[in-house]
Amino acid sequence: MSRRTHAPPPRRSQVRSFRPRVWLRSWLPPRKAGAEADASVRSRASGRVAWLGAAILLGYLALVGRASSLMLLPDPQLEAKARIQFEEAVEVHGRRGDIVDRNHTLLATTVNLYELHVDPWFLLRSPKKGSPHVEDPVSLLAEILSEELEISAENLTRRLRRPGRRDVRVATELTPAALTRIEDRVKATARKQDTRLRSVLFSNATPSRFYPGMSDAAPLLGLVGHNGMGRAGLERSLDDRLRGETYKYVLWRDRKGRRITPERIHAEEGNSVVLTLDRRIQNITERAMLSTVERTGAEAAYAVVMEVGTGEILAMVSLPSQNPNDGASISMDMFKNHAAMDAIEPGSVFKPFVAAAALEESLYTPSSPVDCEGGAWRVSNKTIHDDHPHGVVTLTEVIKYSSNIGSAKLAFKLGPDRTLAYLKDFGFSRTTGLNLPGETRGVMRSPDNIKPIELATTAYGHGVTATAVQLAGAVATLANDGVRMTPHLVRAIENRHGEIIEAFPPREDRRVVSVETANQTVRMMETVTEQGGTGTRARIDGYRVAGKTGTAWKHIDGAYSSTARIGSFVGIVPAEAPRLAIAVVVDTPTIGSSYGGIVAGPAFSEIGEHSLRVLGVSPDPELLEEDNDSVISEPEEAPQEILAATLAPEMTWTADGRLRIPDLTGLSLRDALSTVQGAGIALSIQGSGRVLHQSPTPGTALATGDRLELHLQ
Amino acid sequence: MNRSIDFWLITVTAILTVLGLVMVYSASAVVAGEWGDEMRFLTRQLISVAAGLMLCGATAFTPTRMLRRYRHFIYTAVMVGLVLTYVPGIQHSANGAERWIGFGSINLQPSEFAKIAVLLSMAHFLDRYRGVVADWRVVLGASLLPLPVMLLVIGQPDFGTTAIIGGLCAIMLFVAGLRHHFIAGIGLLGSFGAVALVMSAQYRMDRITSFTDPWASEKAEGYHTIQSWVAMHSGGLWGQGLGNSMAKLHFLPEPWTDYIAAVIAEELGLVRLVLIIMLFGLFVWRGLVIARRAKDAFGMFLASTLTAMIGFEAFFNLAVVMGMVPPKGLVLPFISYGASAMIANLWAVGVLLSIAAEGNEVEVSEGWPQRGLAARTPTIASGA
Repeated sequence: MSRRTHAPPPRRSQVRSFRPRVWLRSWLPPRKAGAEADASVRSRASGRVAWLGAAILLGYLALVGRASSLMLLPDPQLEAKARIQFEEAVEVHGRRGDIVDRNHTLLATTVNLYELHVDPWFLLRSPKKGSPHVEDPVSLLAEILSEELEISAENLTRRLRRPGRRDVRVATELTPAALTRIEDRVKATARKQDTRLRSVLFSNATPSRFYPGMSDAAPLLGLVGHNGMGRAGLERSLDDRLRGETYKYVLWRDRKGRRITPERIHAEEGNSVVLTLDRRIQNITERAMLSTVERTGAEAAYAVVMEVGTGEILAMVSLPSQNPNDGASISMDMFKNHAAMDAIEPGSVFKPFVAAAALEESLYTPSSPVDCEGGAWRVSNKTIHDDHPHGVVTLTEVIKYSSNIGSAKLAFKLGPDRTLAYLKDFGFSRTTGLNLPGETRGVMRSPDNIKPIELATTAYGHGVTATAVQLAGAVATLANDGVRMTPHLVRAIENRHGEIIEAFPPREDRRVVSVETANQTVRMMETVTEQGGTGTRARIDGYRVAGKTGTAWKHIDGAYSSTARIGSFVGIVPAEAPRLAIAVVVDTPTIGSSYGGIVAGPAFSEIGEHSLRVLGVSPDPELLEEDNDSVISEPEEAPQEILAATLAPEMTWTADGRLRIPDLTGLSLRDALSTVQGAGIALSIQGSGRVLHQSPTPGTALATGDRLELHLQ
Repeated sequence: MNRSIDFWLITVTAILTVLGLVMVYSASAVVAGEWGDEMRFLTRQLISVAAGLMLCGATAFTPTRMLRRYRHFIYTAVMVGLVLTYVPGIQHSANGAERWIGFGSINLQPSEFAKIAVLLSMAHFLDRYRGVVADWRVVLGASLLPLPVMLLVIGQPDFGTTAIIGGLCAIMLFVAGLRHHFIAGIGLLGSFGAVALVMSAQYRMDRITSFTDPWASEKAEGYHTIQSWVAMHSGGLWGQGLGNSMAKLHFLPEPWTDYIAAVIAEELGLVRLVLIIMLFGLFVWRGLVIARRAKDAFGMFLASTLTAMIGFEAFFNLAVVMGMVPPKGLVLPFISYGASAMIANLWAVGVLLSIAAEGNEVEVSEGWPQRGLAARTPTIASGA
């Protein structure tokens, strides 16, 4: 064998000029084969194979050692790295509970908003052959996103191109609808134009507080901070009820920041709070106060509507306020709840309470004469005045004409102890029990050190302070046959299944005056809105109104301002069977008169009229004036109107915070408006009469700013 | 000849391959799911395994002399494949290297097959000159043999595979009986070549510097190493449990390929990782036993280097994953996702099985069984 291959026959090599294989063979050394040679080759090779094996196995041993040290020995650097990127020790808050009104209409709720991120890494890879692709997928994506998000494409492109970036946040607070729209569009583009766009988007949800009523009741409801804690208003005072369970656990995240939890860890949802508020009455009050501010140019205006008999607050408005959904532009000043936080000198609205005390002590009857001293009366070394001088008048007229001197005389007759004790019983200088953040209880002198002049001014509401809530509570006491109910705002706490876990029924505080005294006082207060009274502008057509105007000098920096006034009106409707006690305060009106009856009376009238309608309290036909407008002058239609208003369908909120508009067909314009009011829906109304057709169709969800067309016939 | 079957090798290969399928699925399912098909990589890997097994079986039942007869054909086919990776339209690139050739949805990496083709030719050459391997002319000839392939592979560029081919050729020369001063020379030459190659490309340089301190370039070159360490460390002794890897969730890019061992370590833990290393050890042991028992020098040289190929690739892959050597782009044999590597490695197993089947019982000190004329008559050349 070896001989045959070893040396080619010389003859053939001479014939062929050049054959590489032959040439190579001639160049290489002669082969050596055979059993003996093989024996040495094989034994050497065997030895070397063993060495080879030993080398590899030694390498494996090194691997085992290295793996052991990597995987078993503690390494703070690696562990920290793992913690940072995989896990995050978080406090998970269960969903914050809702705040709803007495009819379970949402006032505050929690919806998920989304952050949108882009991982540009996928775009920078070379395209897969055969699949659709474009030259510059980064610009393509930036273009789509800039269109959808209304941001600069240039800027976005620059951010996406920054080397090494794998997480570019392009949007925050996207609604689910917006997120889906963007995702769908990018997906469609990925299919058609460039498959690399397929997996570049990722998002995470952040719970956000949403207030469907926009600025309605905003200062009362308050705000939630970024840490999920209540920051103001009821959100703060009821934080422990609303806040979901806090569950501390280790959250795992993948590279894209998405959460991975092997077993679902559930943090219990917070409870819902059912308020005594009625969203409809709240809205009515908001609108009345807004127009009051517009009309009077007041610095602030606030009102409290309380249900007589229960002490439940149906509406609490404080202006100025702000839409709490406005996110970044929130100013805490706009969330000051003046109705509970401002202790004002109430002025003349205090007089009925002093009068009630005098009646209760049987010192006077409503027709007892009181000498008003012709408008000026010296107490100690100071003189007190009446705006409208009177001589001897009845007690009723003291109230009707709002005589300071007459009131002071009552207080002197009662003496400091009894005067202040009754006022305290009416709730003044006492905490209301609402526990609103920053709520004040006002100040009142103690009977031990009150000077006569101070007693005199206290009788007409100066040198003493009270909040609008206290005023409403006090006047509700008179309306409630002399029994003061503790004002309250929270009806019940419900768990997430809607089961009541804590109920707050109306609570009687104390009897302050007898039934008779209360009724007499209310009757005296009715004269205020009668011809010649100070509060005629508070009248409501078809109902009897009992009330009292107040105009107080405003105390600014320790002295009474010569110009600033606080006008107010507190009252009860309907006077003969009281349902609502309303306190309206207009702080520093700048346009026109600043008399309480003029600045606060119309708002009272508006609130009272619309609220009674919502409550289904029919007007007394005998009281209706001749020259009245359509709605009330047609008795056949009025009850229907009222019924429709009460049954006006509520808008419902979709999960993503849009409004679902109910079927409005058949409703009067007023009822249709009362349904969609306050939601920021742009209305276009055609025709008059009843709603014949609405566009978009009933049940369509609309977002703030969307247009709703109503055709009436 | 009575063909015997090496059950050890088959068993070890089968365990590693099945484990590979499981881990490829585990490591890729989440990401593949985002791409629309959770089974994407598993399905493709199953096809590769099926193709590899067919090639393996066919080779295992083919006598080794057939491999020797068609060695030129195989070498040429691989060369053609490598040249095609330079042809636009056929080449398919990924991560900046043009290592693949695409046929529709199948992409093959000829360099994986080139390793075996080179070893086949080399083993034949060294078999023929087995008695005179110490001669410088034989060494030179043997060195020239893999050169065309290596040049084509380095041009792709694929430094890792080039180094592997060179290293395997050196190992074969070593096994064939190279003298010690040659071994030292080749070692030096290889080292210089490697250093020169490293210096010539910035990305290779970056890999080296990042290797020395991955934390310094945590966001760039060191990223893989850090992520791999984090994964392994979180694995601990018993692992996080199958399917529970965090690293595969986009932290390790393409965790089903080169860095699959990090996912294995994280999910299965140190104990099982060591078992896998032991399986590779077992594979190496069996492969080298087959080499010693081969019926001829060709079988011995080829079996030992093919075993070394699998063994070293496993070593270097794991060493890269553990940050012991600079990143190279080597797969973990039988386990990592990748059609070419899987088919080529199973083919290598087929060759080993074929060599094993023809094994002899003759003592090592007696050389190989002599065939034909040489077996019957004393060799004249033996004394020369």
